[in-house]
Amino acid sequence: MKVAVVLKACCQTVCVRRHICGQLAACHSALQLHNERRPLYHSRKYSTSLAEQFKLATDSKQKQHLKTIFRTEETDPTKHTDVHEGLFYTVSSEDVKRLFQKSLPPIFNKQITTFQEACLMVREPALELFHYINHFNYNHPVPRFMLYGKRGSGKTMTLFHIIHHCAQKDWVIVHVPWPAFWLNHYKEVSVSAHSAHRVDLPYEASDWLQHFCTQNFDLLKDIKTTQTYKWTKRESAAEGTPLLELIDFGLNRVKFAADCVGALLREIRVQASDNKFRVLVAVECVNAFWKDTTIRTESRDFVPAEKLSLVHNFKKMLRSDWTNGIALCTVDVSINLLHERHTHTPHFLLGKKGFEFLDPFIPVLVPEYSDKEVFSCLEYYIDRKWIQNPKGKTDEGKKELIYLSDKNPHALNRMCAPW
Amino acid sequence: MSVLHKKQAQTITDDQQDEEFRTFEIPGLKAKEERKKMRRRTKKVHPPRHLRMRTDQEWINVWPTASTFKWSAVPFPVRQGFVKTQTENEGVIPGKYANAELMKIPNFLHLTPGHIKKHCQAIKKFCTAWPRGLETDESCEKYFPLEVVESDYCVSGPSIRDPRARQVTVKVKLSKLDLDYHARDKMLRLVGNKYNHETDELTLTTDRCPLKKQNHDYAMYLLTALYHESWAREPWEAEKTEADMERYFWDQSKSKSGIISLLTRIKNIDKTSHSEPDARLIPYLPEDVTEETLLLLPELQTYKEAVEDLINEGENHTTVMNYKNSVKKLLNIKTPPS
Amino acid sequence: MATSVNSTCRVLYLHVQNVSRCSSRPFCCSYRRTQQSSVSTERKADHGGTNTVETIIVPRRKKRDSLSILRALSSTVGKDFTAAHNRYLDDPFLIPVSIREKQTYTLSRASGKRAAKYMIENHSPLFQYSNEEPKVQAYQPPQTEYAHPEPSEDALMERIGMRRVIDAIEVYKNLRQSGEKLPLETQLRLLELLAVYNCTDPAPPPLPEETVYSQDAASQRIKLRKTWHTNSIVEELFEDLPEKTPAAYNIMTRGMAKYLDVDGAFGMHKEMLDKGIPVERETYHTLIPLVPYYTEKEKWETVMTLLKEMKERNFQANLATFNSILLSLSRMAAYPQSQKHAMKTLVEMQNCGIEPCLGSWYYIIQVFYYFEDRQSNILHDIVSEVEGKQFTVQDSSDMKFFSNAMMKCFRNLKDLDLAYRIDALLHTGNNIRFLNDAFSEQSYSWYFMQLLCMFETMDKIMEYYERIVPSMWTPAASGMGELLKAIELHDGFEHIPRIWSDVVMFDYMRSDSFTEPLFALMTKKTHPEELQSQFADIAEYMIGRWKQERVDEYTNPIQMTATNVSYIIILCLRSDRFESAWSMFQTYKQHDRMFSGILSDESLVALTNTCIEQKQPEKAIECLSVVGNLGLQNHKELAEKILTEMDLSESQKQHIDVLM
Repeated sequence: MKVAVVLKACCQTVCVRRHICGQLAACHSALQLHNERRPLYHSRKYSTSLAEQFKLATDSKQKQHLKTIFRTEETDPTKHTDVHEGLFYTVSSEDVKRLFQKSLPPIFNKQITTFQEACLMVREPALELFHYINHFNYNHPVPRFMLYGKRGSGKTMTLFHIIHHCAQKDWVIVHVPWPAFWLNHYKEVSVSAHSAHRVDLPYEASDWLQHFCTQNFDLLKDIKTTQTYKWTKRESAAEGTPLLELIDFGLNRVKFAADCVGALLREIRVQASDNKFRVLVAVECVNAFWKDTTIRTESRDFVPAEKLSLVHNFKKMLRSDWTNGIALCTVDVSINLLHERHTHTPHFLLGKKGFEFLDPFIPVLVPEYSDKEVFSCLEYYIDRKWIQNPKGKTDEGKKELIYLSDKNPHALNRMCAPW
Repeated sequence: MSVLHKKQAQTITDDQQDEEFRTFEIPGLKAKEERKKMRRRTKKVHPPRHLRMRTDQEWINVWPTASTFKWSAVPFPVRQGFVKTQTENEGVIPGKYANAELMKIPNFLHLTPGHIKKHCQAIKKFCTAWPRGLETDESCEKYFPLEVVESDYCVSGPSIRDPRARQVTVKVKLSKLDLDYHARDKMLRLVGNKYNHETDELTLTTDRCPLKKQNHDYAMYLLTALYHESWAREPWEAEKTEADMERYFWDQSKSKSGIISLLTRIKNIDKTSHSEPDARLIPYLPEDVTEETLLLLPELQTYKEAVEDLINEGENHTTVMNYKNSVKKLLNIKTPPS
Repeated sequence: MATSVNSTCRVLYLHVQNVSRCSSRPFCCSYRRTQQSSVSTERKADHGGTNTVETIIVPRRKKRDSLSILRALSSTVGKDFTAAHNRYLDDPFLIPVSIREKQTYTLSRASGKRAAKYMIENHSPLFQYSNEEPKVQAYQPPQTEYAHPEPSEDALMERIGMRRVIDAIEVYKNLRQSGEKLPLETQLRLLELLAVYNCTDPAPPPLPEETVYSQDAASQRIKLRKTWHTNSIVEELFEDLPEKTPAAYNIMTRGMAKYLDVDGAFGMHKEMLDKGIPVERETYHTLIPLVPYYTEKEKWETVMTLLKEMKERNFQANLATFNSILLSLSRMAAYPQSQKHAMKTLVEMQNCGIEPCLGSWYYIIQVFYYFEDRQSNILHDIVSEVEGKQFTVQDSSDMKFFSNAMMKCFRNLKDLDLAYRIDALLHTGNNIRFLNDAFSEQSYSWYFMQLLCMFETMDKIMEYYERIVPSMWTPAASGMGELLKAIELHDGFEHIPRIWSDVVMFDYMRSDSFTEPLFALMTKKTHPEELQSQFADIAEYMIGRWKQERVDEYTNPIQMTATNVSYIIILCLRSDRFESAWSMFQTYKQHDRMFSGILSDESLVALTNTCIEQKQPEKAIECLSVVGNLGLQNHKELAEKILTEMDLSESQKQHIDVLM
C-alpha cells in the first residue's frame, strides 16, 4: 500500500499531463486507469465530471485515494501549474511565521491551529498571475494587478499564495495587510514632521516596519541607503546605512516611524529600478486609500486617508514610475457601509480618484469555487475532521452544504463549522 | 283578629268617603287584563316589479342611466356578501333584497352591450371619419408627435367646477425634436425627472394657472422655451468642469495623460534596452511617440472605448473583461494559454 | 351618492401647421417665429432623403351644442311600463298604489318643498353658504328687503320689476298723495302691472307636483265668471293718465278681457273704434273668445266683424289668432253652424300655412262632438293628420287634447282602432308629456279601458291592464267594476285572483257595493280545483280581515252584507273548507245586526248538507234553526233530510220537532 502511495505521489508531482516521463511508464500501469479517468484540467474551463469523482471515491477501497484528490504535495508555489488547480498545498510553518505572521485573517489563523497545518488552495486567479509574473518584461514600469471578487471569495488567500510564490523567488515583499485599520483603529495621531499638512500614525507605522522586517529579514541585510535622510537637526541616517538600521531606528523612535517608512519605500523603489532586486507590492483593500479616516480636523471635518503619510507613501509604490516590480492589490467591499455595497467591482470600490490613480490596471476576478474546487475543499474539511456529522460526508450532505454556501469559500467554511 | 279587620274595614269605608285612599292590591290575586297591543296597520306591498317584466323587454328602458342597485327592478337572482358562520343567514350568502353590499358597489347595468350599441348608433351622427393616413400608431406619432391631455370632471353636486380640470399635460418624444448632442444634454438637465428614459418621452404637466386654456398656453410656451434654451450656448457653459460632465470622456480625463506618459516612458525604455528579446517589447508603438501618433493606435482606441464603457455603462462582466483585455494588449502582458 | 365621471380628451396637434393656431397666443408665437425658420431649414437638411411630406387632412368638427349629445342619448331610451312615475322612490314599499296614496305621496313632496322654501325664506341668515357654481337665482332666498324703501319713482319701478302689486299700489298712492309727477312711461308700466294681475299680488306659482292634482272633475265644471275689479285703482290710474296712449287702451282692454269683464272689454273696444285708436292684434286675440258671452245672437257675425277689423289693419294671422277663433267656436259648440265655421277656419289655417297645434285640434273635437250623439269622422281625420308627429307645447289647451280625444272616442264613436291609434300617438316620442296631470291620466285610461272591455278579448284586456296598472293608472272602483263585467262576459275567471290582489292594494274591498258583485261573480259557477281554492282563499281572507279589523278597532272597518256572507260560505264549502264556513256562519249568528240583509237559501242549504256529510248533528240543527228563523222555504225539506240521513239522539229529534 505504502509503495503504491509513494508511487502515486511521484506520479502526481512528476506525471504532469503535458510532460509525461517515459521512465515511469511502469508505475503508470497501476495508475493508468486512474489517470485516464481523470478529466483534463484546463486552466480556464471548470470541467466538473462530478459523477466520475464520486464514482472514484466509492470504487476505490483504499482510503488513501481520497487524500490524493484534494491535496498536492508540491509545496513550492513557484512550481504550481494547471495540474494543481483545486488542490491544497501546505505552507511550511516557517514560511507562515516569516511571511504571514500577524497579517493572516483571524479565522484562518484559528484554522491553522485547529488543522495543525496551513493549507492554501491553488486556484485559477493565482495561476494566471503567476503566468503574468513569469512573462512580464521587468524593464517596463510596474504593472498594477487588481484582485476583485465577492466578499469571502478568496482574494486575500490568493494574495498570500502569490506572496509565497514571490517570496520563494527571493523578491522583496512590500505587504500592506489591511490598511483599513489605519482609518479608524489607530492608536495615536500626530502631525507629520516631514510635511505639516500630513498626518502621522506612528504606532501603525512602526508595526508595519516590524512586519516588513520579519518578511524580508534575509534580504534586508544587503540593502543600503543611497542618500541621507535627515530626521531632525541632529539625527539623520547617512548614506550607506543598512536598511535594517533604518528599521530599527524607526522601531525605537516611534515618532519618526512614518518617515522611516517613507524613506524605506523610496530606497526600495530606487534600488529596484537599478535592478538590484525585484519587488512585490501587495496591498490588501487598496480602496481604503481613498476613504475618510475618523480623525477630525479643527474644523470638524474628517481627514481623508490620502492625508495620512503612510498612505501617501504607499501610493507612491503603486505608481508606474519605477521598474522591476509588480503591484498587486485587492479591493474589498467590506469596508464600505452597508448601503454602499452595490457591487464588488473595482471602479465602484476605488471611486473616481482611485481609478484614475491606478488606471491602467489589470483586474483579475477571484470567483467563487468551481465545482471541482468546492468538492476538493469539502474533502479537505472531511479529512481534517472539520465536518463531524456523518451525514455531512455523504453525497446529499455535500450537496446541501454547497447549496447553502452557494460555493462561496468563506460561507462554506462557516457553514461547515457547526457540522 | 277579626275585630281588627272589622275596624280596618270601617276605617276604610270612612276614609273613602273623606279622601282618596289607595286600595291594597294583593299581587297575583286578580288576573290582570291584558292591554290591547296597538297593532300597526301593515301596509300592503305590491310584489316587486321584476316579476312583471317580460323576457323580451328592452333593458335600456328599464335602466337608462347609472343608478344604485334596485333589487326590485333587477330581474335576475344575484348574491353578494360574506357569511362568517353557519348561523348567519343559515350559512347562505345574502340575496339581493335589501343587500347593502350590492348597493354600495358600482354596477354597470346601464352599460350593457345593448346600451352601448344603441348609444353608439345615436352618437354616430356627430362623428367624422378617421383621417386617412393615420391608420397605425406609428403614423399618428409621425404626423402628430405632440400629445396634449386635458380632463373634464363631472360630479353630481351643486358645483360644476373641479380644481383638477385645469391641469394640462403635454407629452413629446425627444427624438422628434431637433437636438444635437449639446442641446439634448442641456435639455435633459433642464428637464430633470420629467423625462422618461425608457420611452424617450418628455412630460410637462402644468396647473399653475387658474384656467385650462391658460395652462395649455403656458405648457406650449414652456416647451418652446426649453427647446430654444437647450440650443443656446451660454458663455458660462464653457466653465463646465469634470464634475459636471454627464458622461465620462476619456479625452478629457487624467487617464489619457497618464497613459500617454506611460507609453512614452515605455517607448524610451524599449529604445534603450537592447538585450531583451523582441517579444518583450511593445511592438506596436511607432517610432516617434507623440500624443497624436499614440491616439491613432488601435490598441489605444480599444482601451479608450473599454474605459469609457466601464465607467459609462457600469461594471459588468463584459465591460470589466474588455477593460482587462485592452490593458493587457496595451501593456503587452501575455495571456496565459488555455 | 356623488358620482364622478372622468373623461380625457386627446387632442392631436400637427406641429408644423401650428403657426395658424398661434395667432391667439402672442407670447408663444413670437418666441417660435424667430426660430421657426432656422429649425425648419435644419430639419430639411437632416431629412435629405424624404422630400415628400404627406398632408393629413383632419376633417372639421361637426357642429353640436352643449346638449346635443345628451339629447341623442336620451332619444335611445323608451318608456318602461313596469316602472312607477319618476317622482316616487323606486322600491315596492315606497311606490304608492291606490289613488289616495298617490295623491298623498305627490302632495307630500310638494309640501316638503314648501316647508324647505319656508325655512329658507324665514331663516335666510342660516343659509348663507352656497358653493354652487354657477349660482342659480331660483335657489337663493328671495329678496325681502327693498332697495328703495321710501316711496319714489325708483321704488315704484323696483316693485313693478319684482311683481309686488300691492306694494306698488301703495307706493303709487303715496306718490299721488304727495303730488309727485310720474313720467308717462312709469305710469304705463304700472298700468300694465295692475291690468295683468288685476290689482292683487299674483299667487306663487304652483309646484309641479301640485299642478298634477290641480285639476279634477269639480274644477271642470266651474263656470267662468267675471273677476275684474271695476272701479278700482286700475281705472283710477287709467283716468289719471296724462295722455291715454293706444298702449294704455289696449292694456286695459286686454286686462278686462282676461278677467272676463266682457262688457267692459267690449266697451273699451267700442271706445277705441270711436276714437280711432288702433287696436292691437293681441287685443283681438283676447276679445274674440269672449264674443259668445257678449252677444246672444249673431255670435259668429260678431267674430267675423272683429276679423274684418283685423284684416283692415293688415294684421297677419298667426296660430294664436286661429286658436282664439276656435276657442270661441268651442264655446258656441251647441249651434249646428259651428261645425261648418270650424271647417272653414281649418281651411283658412292651411291656406295661411300655419300648422295647427294640439290645442286647435282639441277645440275642433269640442265643436264636433259636443253632444254625445253627434257622429262624425273628424276625429279619424285628425288622428290621421297628426299620427307619428311629435309635438311641442304651444298653447295651454294642448294638454287637454288626449284625454278629450279618448273620451270622445269612447262616448261618441266607440271605435277601438281609433283608440289604439290615439294611444300610439301618445307614446310617440315625448308626446306623453301632454298627459301631465292626474285627472287627464285618469280619464284617458278610464275611457280606453272601457273601450277595451267592450270590444277586446280577455287576454288583450289583461295585457293592457298589466301594462298600465298600477304604474300609470290606478282605476277607480267603477273601473274595476267594468273589468268584472268584462270578465263575466269573456269568461275570464282565472284573472280574478290577480284583480283581487289589486283590489286589496287599492283598498276597494271596504265597500260592499264593490265586493258583492265580485263575490257573486266568483260563486256563479264552479271552477277547476286550483282556481276554486284560490277563491276560497280570498273568502277566508275577507273573513280574517273583517274579524281583525273589529278586534283592532278600526275606525272604518269593512262592511259586509249578509249576501256577501252567504257567498263566502258557498265559496268555502266548494273548496271543502268547512271550518271557515262554519266560523263565518257563527260570526254571522253572533253579530247578525252588523250584516244587512239575510243569508241566502243556497248557502244555508249547502251548509246544512255539508253538516250532514260531516256528520255533525248539532251543527245541522243549528242551521236548521236559523233557516226556521229566517223563514226560508226549504225548512221542512231540510228537517226531513236531517232526520232521515243522520243518526240523532232523542233530544235532538225532539229539538227538530220543536223547530218544525
